[in-house]
Amino acid sequence: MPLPSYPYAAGRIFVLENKLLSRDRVERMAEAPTGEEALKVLAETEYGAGIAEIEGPHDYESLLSFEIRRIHSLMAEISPDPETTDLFFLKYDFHNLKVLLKSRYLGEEQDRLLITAGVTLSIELLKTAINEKDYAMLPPYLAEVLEEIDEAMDKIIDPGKMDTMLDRAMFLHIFDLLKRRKNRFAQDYFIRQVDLINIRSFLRIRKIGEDFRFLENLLLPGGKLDEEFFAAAMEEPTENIGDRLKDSEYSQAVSRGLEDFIKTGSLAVYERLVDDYLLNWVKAARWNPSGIEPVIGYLLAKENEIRIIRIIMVGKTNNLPPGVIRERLRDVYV
Amino acid sequence: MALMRVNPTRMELSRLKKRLAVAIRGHKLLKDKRDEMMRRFVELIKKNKEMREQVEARLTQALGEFLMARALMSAEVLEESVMYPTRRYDLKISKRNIMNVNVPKIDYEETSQEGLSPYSYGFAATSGELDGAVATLSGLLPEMLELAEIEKTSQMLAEEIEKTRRRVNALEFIMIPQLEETIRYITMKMDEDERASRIRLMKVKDMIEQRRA
Repeated sequence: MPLPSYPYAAGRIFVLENKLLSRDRVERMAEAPTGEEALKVLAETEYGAGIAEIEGPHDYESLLSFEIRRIHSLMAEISPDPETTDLFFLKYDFHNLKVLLKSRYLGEEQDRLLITAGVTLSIELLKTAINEKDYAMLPPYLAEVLEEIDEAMDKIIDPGKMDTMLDRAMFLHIFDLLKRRKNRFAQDYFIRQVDLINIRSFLRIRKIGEDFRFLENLLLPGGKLDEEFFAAAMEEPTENIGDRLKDSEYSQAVSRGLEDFIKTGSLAVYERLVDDYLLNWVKAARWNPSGIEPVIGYLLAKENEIRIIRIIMVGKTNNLPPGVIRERLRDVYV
Repeated sequence: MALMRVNPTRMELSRLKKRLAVAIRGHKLLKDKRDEMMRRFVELIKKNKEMREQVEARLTQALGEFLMARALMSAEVLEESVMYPTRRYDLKISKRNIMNVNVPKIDYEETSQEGLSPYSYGFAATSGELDGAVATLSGLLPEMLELAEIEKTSQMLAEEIEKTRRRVNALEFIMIPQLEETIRYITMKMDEDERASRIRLMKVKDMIEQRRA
């Protein structure tokens, strides 16, 4: 096997990109009258192998896990910088941490909620560490946050806070590692992701009607927009955040998403625009065969594809009207 | 109407007459009970229908929002978000008496820890569409409890009404006519006996007078 290198990975990726779902195929899936039909459209693509394994349209989650597992092992094979690409799979580990922690506090096992696809830390390891409160066997940054959580949950068990502390720790770790590896591109990507998530949290808090104290706890670290930005935005009417961001690169996603949020109270459009924006941002940088860009681009394209398939399959198996599905459908990569 | 198998004696007659009086009285009481229960029942089901429609509309809305959230998050992430509830309620179920029917009464008391928001998840990995569903559902619990109480009450009342109605009908169309008929039969039988013995006496008197003459 050739040694993983940037040009080699780029070469592999450029071939694989041709196998991504095209806009046309996504349209055909969305048009399909039933879940079975939508799967048939999908079976002609590289998902065919996975579809043969599953029982029917209701089992699409297995198909998606199968795909995540496949991408993860592909990355292990070709990634020139596995530490960086693993960061994109970190969320699955953190999901498992959340499940195990909450299980411990609830005192009942909920193992069916654990994700096995795409994890970088073995579930057995996490389970032993958490159930026995022996964090020494985990990476130090995890041990640290888990101890903090134990301390914070001493008096009041607040599952929301538990999640938030883990989310924060995840992004702190991501930025920390990327700074050390001097990976500008991936850093820029995560900065944008954090900012847009924080804006979304701001809008969600607005809808719920909570104050800045609540939001403060939810904000993720590492973005360009800092706490003061949100503290100031909190003092003003919701629509002003659009003006504040007018000159930033988020303006397009935010202004249209905000418009729809104010009109309908739903964040569906905003969330779609954010995903589209992030995808387009990596797409623009993908023609760099000597960098990590094509690999990350492909990874995100696959994640996006999985989101698209999930939206369509949930819609099809629950007989949602095509309009509702379409409103949430993301752009495609190629 | 079938007669009861009884000996046509005076004892039996007075026993039956007593039973008839009890039956008529019981019938009147049961009928009153039935009417009153019907009145309450109609009131209850009117309220029940109203509440059910309300609750169902809001449940449909919440479940729709959940579905949307589900489309944007994987099954595991969605369930993880709501696996640890922040709201806790103590339910106390006691009994209440309506027209001698023991119906449930549900009292609840919130025992959640202070200062916890109903949103039991982090905002980074979850979709905004989840918030609406959680908010709707968390406001819906008291109404759902009340609905449960009313619905069970209506069910139990309906059952009791059915039973009472059957009893009223049994009294009205079987017991009472039967008793009345049997009483008439005994009275007639005894009258007949009386007439027979009187005729006999007259006959005997006639015969004695003839012999004397």
